[in-house]
Amino acid sequence: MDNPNIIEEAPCIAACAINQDARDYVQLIARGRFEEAFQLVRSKNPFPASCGRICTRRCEEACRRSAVDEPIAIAWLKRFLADKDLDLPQEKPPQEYPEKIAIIGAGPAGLSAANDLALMGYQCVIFEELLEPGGMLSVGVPRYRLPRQSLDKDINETLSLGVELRTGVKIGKDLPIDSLFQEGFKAVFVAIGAHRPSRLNIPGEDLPGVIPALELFRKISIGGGVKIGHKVAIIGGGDTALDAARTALRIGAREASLVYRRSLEEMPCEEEGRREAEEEGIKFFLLAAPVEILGKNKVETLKCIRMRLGDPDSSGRRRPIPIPGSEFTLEVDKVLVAIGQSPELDTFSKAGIRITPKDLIGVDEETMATSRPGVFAGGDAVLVGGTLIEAVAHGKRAARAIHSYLRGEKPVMPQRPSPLKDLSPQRLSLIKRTPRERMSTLPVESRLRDFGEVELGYSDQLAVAEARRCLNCGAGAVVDPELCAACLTCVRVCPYDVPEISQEERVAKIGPDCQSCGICVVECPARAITLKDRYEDQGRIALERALQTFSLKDGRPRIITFLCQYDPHCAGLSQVLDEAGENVRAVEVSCVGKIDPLLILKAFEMGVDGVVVAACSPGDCPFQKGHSWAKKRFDHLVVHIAALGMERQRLQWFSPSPREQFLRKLGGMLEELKKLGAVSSHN
Amino acid sequence: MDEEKTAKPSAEVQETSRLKSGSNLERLLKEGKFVVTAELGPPRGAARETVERKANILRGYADAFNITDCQTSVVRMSSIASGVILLEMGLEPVIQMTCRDRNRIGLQSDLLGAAALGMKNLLCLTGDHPKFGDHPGAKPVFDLDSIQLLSVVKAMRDEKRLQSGTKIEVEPRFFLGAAENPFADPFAFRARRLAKKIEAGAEFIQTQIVYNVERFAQWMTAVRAMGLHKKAFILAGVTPLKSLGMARYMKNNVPGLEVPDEIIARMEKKKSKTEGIDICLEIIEKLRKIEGVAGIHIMAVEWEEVVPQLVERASLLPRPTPSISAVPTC
Amino acid sequence: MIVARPKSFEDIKRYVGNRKKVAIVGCGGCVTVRPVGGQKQVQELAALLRLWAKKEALTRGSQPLTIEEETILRQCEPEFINSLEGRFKDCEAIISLACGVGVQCLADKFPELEVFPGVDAVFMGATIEPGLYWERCVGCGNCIIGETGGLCPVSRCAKSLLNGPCGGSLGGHCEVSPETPCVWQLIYERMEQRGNLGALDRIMPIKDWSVRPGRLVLEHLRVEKKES
Ligand SMILES: Cc1cc2nc3c(=O)[nH]c(=O)nc-3n(C[C@H](O)[C@H](O)[C@H](O)COP(=O)(O)OP(=O)(O)OC[C@H]3O[C@@H](n4cnc5c(N)ncnc54)[C@H](O)[C@@H]3O)c2cc1C
Ligand code: SF4
Ligand code: SF4
Ligand code: SF4
Repeated sequence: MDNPNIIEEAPCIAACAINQDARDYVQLIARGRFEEAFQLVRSKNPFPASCGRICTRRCEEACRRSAVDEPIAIAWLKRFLADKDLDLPQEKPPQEYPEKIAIIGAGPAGLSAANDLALMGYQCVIFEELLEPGGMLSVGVPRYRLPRQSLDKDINETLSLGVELRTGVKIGKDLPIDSLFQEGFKAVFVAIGAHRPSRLNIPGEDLPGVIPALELFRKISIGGGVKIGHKVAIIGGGDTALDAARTALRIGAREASLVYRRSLEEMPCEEEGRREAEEEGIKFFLLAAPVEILGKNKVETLKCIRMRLGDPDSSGRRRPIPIPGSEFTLEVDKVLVAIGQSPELDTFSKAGIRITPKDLIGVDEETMATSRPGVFAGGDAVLVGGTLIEAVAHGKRAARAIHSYLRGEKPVMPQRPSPLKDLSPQRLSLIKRTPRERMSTLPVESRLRDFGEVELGYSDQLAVAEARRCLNCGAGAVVDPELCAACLTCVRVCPYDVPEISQEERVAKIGPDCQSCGICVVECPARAITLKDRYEDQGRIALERALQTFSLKDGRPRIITFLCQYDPHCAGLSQVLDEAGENVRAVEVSCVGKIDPLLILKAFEMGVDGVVVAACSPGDCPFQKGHSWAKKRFDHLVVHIAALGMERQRLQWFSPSPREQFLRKLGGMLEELKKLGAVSSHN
Repeated sequence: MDEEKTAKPSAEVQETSRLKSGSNLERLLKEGKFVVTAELGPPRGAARETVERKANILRGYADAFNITDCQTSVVRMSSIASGVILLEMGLEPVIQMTCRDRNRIGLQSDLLGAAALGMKNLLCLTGDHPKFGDHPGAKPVFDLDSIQLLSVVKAMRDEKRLQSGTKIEVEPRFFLGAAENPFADPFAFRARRLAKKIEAGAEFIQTQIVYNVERFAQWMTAVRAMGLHKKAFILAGVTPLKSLGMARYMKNNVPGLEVPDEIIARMEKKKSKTEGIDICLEIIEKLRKIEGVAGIHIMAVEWEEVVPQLVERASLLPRPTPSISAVPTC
Repeated sequence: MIVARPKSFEDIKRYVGNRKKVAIVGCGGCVTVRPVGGQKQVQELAALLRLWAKKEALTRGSQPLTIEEETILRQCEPEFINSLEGRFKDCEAIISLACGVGVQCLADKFPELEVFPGVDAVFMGATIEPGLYWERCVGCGNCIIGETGGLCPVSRCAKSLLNGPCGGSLGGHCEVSPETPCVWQLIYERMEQRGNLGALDRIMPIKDWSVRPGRLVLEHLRVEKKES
């Protein structure tokens, strides 16, 4: 995002409610630049640890890599960053503006607004009815999906910016909304979420033992004991229902049966959660709806009816129709109702804020402004079935709008970029297949014992490997039309047949299917091509850094080793070399096909005594042809080096595997260079 | 290689009445005699004696003697100069002239001189590329090709004008020949190209060395179909194989020369010079029987000694050739 | 387009000799397109030379070598050459990576400097496949391709024969090298394909080789220079 060279965005970025820079932080991870990656994530998203776990991942749905094999595990990578506990403290911003802002609700919407406003230099106070901040993330989403400490990490970042949190205050009950203005708040953001459970409206609903899932979650989160019984039925098919079922198993239920009106495909839940629920033994009664709850003093039987699917309804899903005479019963001790919730709006309608027919707060979708000046709203309070990232997005939009409102300016809302089109079909076969890196999960037996997190996260190595699968959509090569000589070199060398030169345009055009292999960049005789990706400089900065660390010491000879970051055999090699002593420095490049021979010459010019290129084996190149181009250029360079009278031994091509052999060869080279001395004949 | 040559008796003889050059070769061919020509390679050096020695070996065994023009682009004594030595010895030379080393000015000038020195037979060639010779970096001229050279000389002779159109008082009177390689590609084009040479002025043709008689016969069929054998005398080229090595070299290294495997096999078996001579005699025998072959042209490169026995054993003796004197043609 | 090949580094080293400062000037025309003389090659040659100078510091009398790198749009146009006005003041020599045309234009612009060719222009030719070029025209000034099936025997026949193949044409190859297709074979095949073999029976007249150096005036393109 925010790269002026990029007009159409990677679909992962475009699909995200906050247009999180998925591609860019994934690319940074691929290069092992974790801190920068995390900073980039956090600059847009105050909930990285939470989003990395429970986000609905529109980005992954949109990921172009899906057409090749599987989408990039974008969320897992974000979680990986958040979990690394990188020590990157944010500075508490100075107060820039005098106005104070009141925020009602310490859920993700409220906290996000507070975060951004605090960064702009406003003083914010959050009023929260409960004793803990976090909203549904705290009292809804179960711990095995979102551990408390991860959530707290996110929340504390925001609070550390100087945001004031007043818990145990319910606006409307403890404090009327108008008093906020009287107290001197100049703007209010209403982010109260949706906490009133929807009712089934069937006989027996008020029997003891029938409880809303939300209540169960809330009780557990505040540490209250809950008796769940042996057999539990859960009504609903969304994430909340799944969470309720899985929670029930964790607090002692032997059997959890989920009753849902439609079929598996229609379930409005995350694939992973469902799979994990299945693994844990949850029974699914699909195409079934409750008609009555029976029992003497408490729940005993749940009577259901079978359904079939009719025509699609307004939500686009097929409408379930009861099949007469198909009733059946389930013996149960508890019924958990998880069919949705709505906001509690009485206070707000009384305060003159418009409420929609769907019982939501009415807002302007761009600015989140309500009908009352100075009052803004967002999150679940304005959306049915809202999600974490939408709440964050609303909070951020509201923050901008509030700022404009207070400054008396016209609000400038962030542009929503349009997504790139899909990879063209003829490209698919040219892209190397590489399956997604799996994250390990807790074994089922130990899962059910407590609320320990099920998904265990990525190691550095897995994260990097996964990030390297990213196709860097939209940030590939671009041609400077002023320099292009229409020589066709790029057209001819591209392993993916991306560049085109049309008779009309007369210069090369590189479309969005570019895979960023960098081959054309090196080959273009007019130097007209660059990679848009601002994190890719084809080894230049890395070389400079390596040279700098050399100059601190006098060790001779000095060897620069170019390593392919994509080659698993090179993994960790860079540290090994850097730690091995003062003679060798590693320069990592994302594919040796990106190395410009000029860079090797530059290394020599800057005083190194030898250069090694450590490349994968030909078949392993993620760009298919990167290896062979690198080799061809290398061989050509060897000829030149010889022609200028330099010793052949100074330029070597070693395979990094097996590693001992590589290190042995490198050692041999060191010895030889010691004998040869410096390239230059003056000292 | 472009040096194409050889001969055999052509049946029909027309136009005996008017001789263009008055050369012995022209006269014999027009009388319907089966002629024999032989090649004489000038030395790489200024040794007149070498020319004389070779001429003495060949004397009496052929009707005219081709003197090559820096064959395979190797520098040798000039064809015209060597021709003068032959004339002085009473032998009739066939001057070979390639387009490789001279532009139209040089060619015409040298040919005027050759005529003045008494040369009467001229074989017009394109010439090998300098790449094959001892001066591979030489700039090849090829201002004209062989066909154009024929037309230029014909115009000098018959219309008394130079290529530029300038009239000349005294014309060079040459009996004009060209070479053809029946074995080169495109095969189907070879007879048509011969027709172009004849149209341009060629009156006799010396072919590339024949080893594959069948293929040669095929080509002759095409030649006869176009009636070309009646418009020019065709002399089939032959070369006795000295060794197996030579046979192999000819097969593999000389472009446009076909040596059938059976000949290689025979040379392999016997490994002797006599086998090479026997093969050559068999070829001559077969060639004589082909309609339209007016003579043979023997190219015994640096093996002139073999020519007498070859001609003798082929029963082509005695040659009906009187000694001639060095009298200019004009 | 003009096809060129890089000169050997030996030659370039000789040109630079003991000089302290030289310029390398690339051309954005043919030599960029047939990539031997564009910005990339300018940079590479400069880097190589600096490295060489470093290596040879002693033999070069400890002279450091400074190189000015420049690539102009086309070295064969006065306007572009003029854009270099005032440049290379303290350079002792220029290496041009353009064809001989460009080198000369550059030398005319900088008569006081030694100007060296960094590439050898080899011919006017076409790209057959990336990295493979064949000569296609010699600029003979008298084009006959219309009569030879759209194939040029002047540039593509080793002997520039105009009346059919010599006796060295074999299996479609020219006698000079088995890699060289015999253009007369190709002409023959194309004419056969067109059903027009008869056209080859005509004796092609002797060619009028143009006067060198060529001078071409296209009156309609001339622009009067304003008298000042
Ligand atoms: C069980 C469950 C699972 C979920 N799983 C996911 C998931 O996997 N992925 C996902 O993206 N989303 C999920 N969600 C949805 C997500 O949690 C919500 O969309 C999100 O939390 C909404 O944020 P919010 O800030 O708008 O509201 P909330 O998070 O609900 O926060 C509102 C806050 O306001 C407080 N409040 C309410 N009224 C007042 C008042 N009058 N005065 C003071 N304070 C008040 C509330 O106590 C609460 O703390 C899940 C929700 C549930 C219930
Ligand atoms: S491949 Fe990378 S850039 Fe492309 S959509 Fe997927 S995550 Fe985004
Ligand atoms: S390689 Fe460079 S100069 Fe050539 S067409 Fe592509 S962008 Fe243009
Ligand atoms: S960077 Fe690679 S994939 Fe992209 S256009 Fe260039 S050669 Fe093709």
